[in-house]
Amino acid sequence: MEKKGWYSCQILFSFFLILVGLYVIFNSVRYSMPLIKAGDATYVDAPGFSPVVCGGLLIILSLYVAYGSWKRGGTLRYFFSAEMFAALKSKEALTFYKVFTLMFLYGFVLLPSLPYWLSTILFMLAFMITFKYFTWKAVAVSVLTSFTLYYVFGTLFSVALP
Amino acid sequence: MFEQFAILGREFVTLLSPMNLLLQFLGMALGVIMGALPGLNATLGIALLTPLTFAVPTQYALAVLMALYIGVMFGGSISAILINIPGTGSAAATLLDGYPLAKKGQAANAIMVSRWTSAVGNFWGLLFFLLCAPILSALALNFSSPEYFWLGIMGIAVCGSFASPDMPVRGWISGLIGLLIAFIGIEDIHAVARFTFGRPELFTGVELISAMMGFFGIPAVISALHTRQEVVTEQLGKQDLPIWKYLKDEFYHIFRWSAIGVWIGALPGVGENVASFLAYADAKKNHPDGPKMGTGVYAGVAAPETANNSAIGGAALPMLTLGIPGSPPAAVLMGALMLHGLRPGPLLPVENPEVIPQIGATIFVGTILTLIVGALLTRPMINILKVRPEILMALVSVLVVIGSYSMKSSIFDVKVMILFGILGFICDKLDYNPAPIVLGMILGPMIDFNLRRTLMLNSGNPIGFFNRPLSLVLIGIIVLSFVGPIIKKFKDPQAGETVA
Repeated sequence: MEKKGWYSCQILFSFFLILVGLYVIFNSVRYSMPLIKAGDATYVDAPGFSPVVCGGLLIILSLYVAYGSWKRGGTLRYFFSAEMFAALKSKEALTFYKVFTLMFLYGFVLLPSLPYWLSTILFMLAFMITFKYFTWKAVAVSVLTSFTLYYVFGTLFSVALP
Repeated sequence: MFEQFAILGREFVTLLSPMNLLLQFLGMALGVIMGALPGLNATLGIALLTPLTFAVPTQYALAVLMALYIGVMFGGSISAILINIPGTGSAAATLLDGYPLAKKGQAANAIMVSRWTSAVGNFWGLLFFLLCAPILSALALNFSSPEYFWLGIMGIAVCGSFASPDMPVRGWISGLIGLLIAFIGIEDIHAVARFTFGRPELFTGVELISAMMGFFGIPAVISALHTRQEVVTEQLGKQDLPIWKYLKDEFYHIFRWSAIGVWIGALPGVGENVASFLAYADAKKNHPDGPKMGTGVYAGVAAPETANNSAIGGAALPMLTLGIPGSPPAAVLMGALMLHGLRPGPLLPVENPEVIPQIGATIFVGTILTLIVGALLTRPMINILKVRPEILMALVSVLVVIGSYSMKSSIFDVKVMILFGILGFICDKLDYNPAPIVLGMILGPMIDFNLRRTLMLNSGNPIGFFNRPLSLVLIGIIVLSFVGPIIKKFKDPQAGETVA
C-alpha cells in the first residue's frame, strides 16, 4: 500500500478504535451504575472500572496515532479518491474478498445445513476452483481430507459434528 | 534445585515409553513440515493441534505440542535455505545467509548447521529453564494482588514496546485491544456479564484457541494465496562439514546467541522472531565472519537458529511460573494447558508439581528428536515444499473451522473465528502486532481482578500498588519499557515511518 493510503487507513482504524473506546465506556457505566446505586459495589470495584480505564486509554492512544498519521499525510479524503478504488480492486483485496466469502459460506451456510463431510468436500472444491486450481488431485484431496477429519473428530474424538 | 533435576530424570524416563516417543516423533515431524511450509507457524500449528489433544492425557498433549513447537522452529530454516522463503518469521534472518549458501551448493551443510545449532540452542534454553524455574517459582509465591496487577501491566508494556519498535503506541494499543476482548464474559467479582450482547455463548468469554485460529490462520491463508509464486528448490549438495569441529570452534558464539535467545524468549510476548534477528545482528557485529554476512556464511545460519530455539526454554519459563507467556506460541500453548485443566502461574508447581519437569524432559527429548527427525526429513522436504498453496490453504481453512468448532461443538465459535480473522487481517495490514493482543487476552482477567481487588483491600486508596518492594521493581521495569522507546524516538525523530 502506498504511504498516503496507509496513513489514511491508520486514521480510519484509529477512529474505529475511538468509537470502540466510547462504546466500552458507555456500556461499562450503564451496567455498573445500578450496582453502585444499590450499594452492591463501589466505583473502584464495579465491573466497569477496568474497561473504563482501558477504554479511556484506547481513546487517548488512538487519537495520538490518528494525529501522527494526519501529520504524515493521511487524510479521510483518501477514501473517496481514485487510489482508494484502485486499492479496493487490488490482487490482495480480491484474495481477501474471495477467502472471506468462502469462509462465510462454509461457516454460515454449508455447515449448518449439510452433513459435515459433504459441506467440507464442497468447500474445498470451491476454494481450489476459486483460486484456479482444479485437477483430479484437488478432488482426491477434498474427499480424503473430508472423510479423514470426519473420522478423526467425529469417531475418534467423539465431537458432535454438524 | 538438584531435586528439580532428579524429577526431570524421572520424567525423562517416563517420556521414553513407546507411546510418548511416538507422539513426540509425530509432533516433531509435523512441526518440521509446518515450519517449512510458508504461511504456517508455531502459533497456528499449536492452535490447530490443540483440539486433537483433547482426547489424550495431559502428559501426551504436552509432549506432542512441545515437540511441534520445537520442530517448527527448525523447520522454518529448511525453506529459508532451499527456496529463499522463510517458513516462519523466526527463520527470516536465516535466509539472509542460508539461501546464498544454497546457491553455492552448500544447502545440505547449511541445513545441518541449522539442525545442530537448533538442538544446541534448545539445550541451553532447557538448562536456563531448569535452573531458573525453581527460583522464579519461589519468588512468585510472594506475589499478591498488586504484584499480579503490575506483572500483567509489565507483560503488555514490554511486549508492546518490543513488538512495535517503530511505533510502540501501536503495540500498546494492541495490548489494550486484547484486554478489552478478555473483558468479554461474566466477570469474577460481581458475576456481571460484560459485553456479551445478550449471547449466552459469550458468558464464558471468547474461546482463546478459536480466536487465535482466526487471528493467525486466516491472514496466513490470504497472504499465501496473494503471494503465490513458483517454488524453485535449490539442490542439497554434499554434506561434508565436520559438524563437531564446527560446534567446538563456535562454542563461545553459540553460547552467546543462546543467551540472547533465552533472554528475549523470557520477555513477555516478544518471542523467537525478535530473538533470531538480534542474534543475527550480534553475529554481524561480533563474529569474525561478520563482515562477510549476507554472502553465505554459516554463522548467518547458526546465529538465528540457535537463538530462536533457545527462546523456547526462555518463553516457557515465565509462562509456567508466572502465567505470562514469553512468546505468541507460548501464549497459545498456555491456552492449551488451561483447556487441559492446568493453571499456569505461581501455583502450578504446588498444584501440579510434575508439569515443569515434564516440560523440561519434553524439551530434552525434543532436542534429540530435532537431530533425528530433522535429518530424516531434509530430503523429502524438497518434494513437500512443492505442495501447491491452493491445496495447502484449503486444508488450513478446513482445519481452522473444524478446530474452532470442536472446542465447544458450536457453530458460534466458527463465527467468532471468522470475525477474528477479519481483525487479524486488518491488524496485519496496519502493522498492529498480534503478540500484545494475544498477551492482553491471556492477562486481561488477571489484571482486571487484581486491580479491583487491591483497590477494595485498600478502601479505594491506590497506595496499595506502591508500598511493596516487588511492586516497585515491576513499576521500574514498566517505566523503562515506556521511557525507552520515547528516548529512542527523541534521538531519532524519523522512527515510525515504516509502512507495511
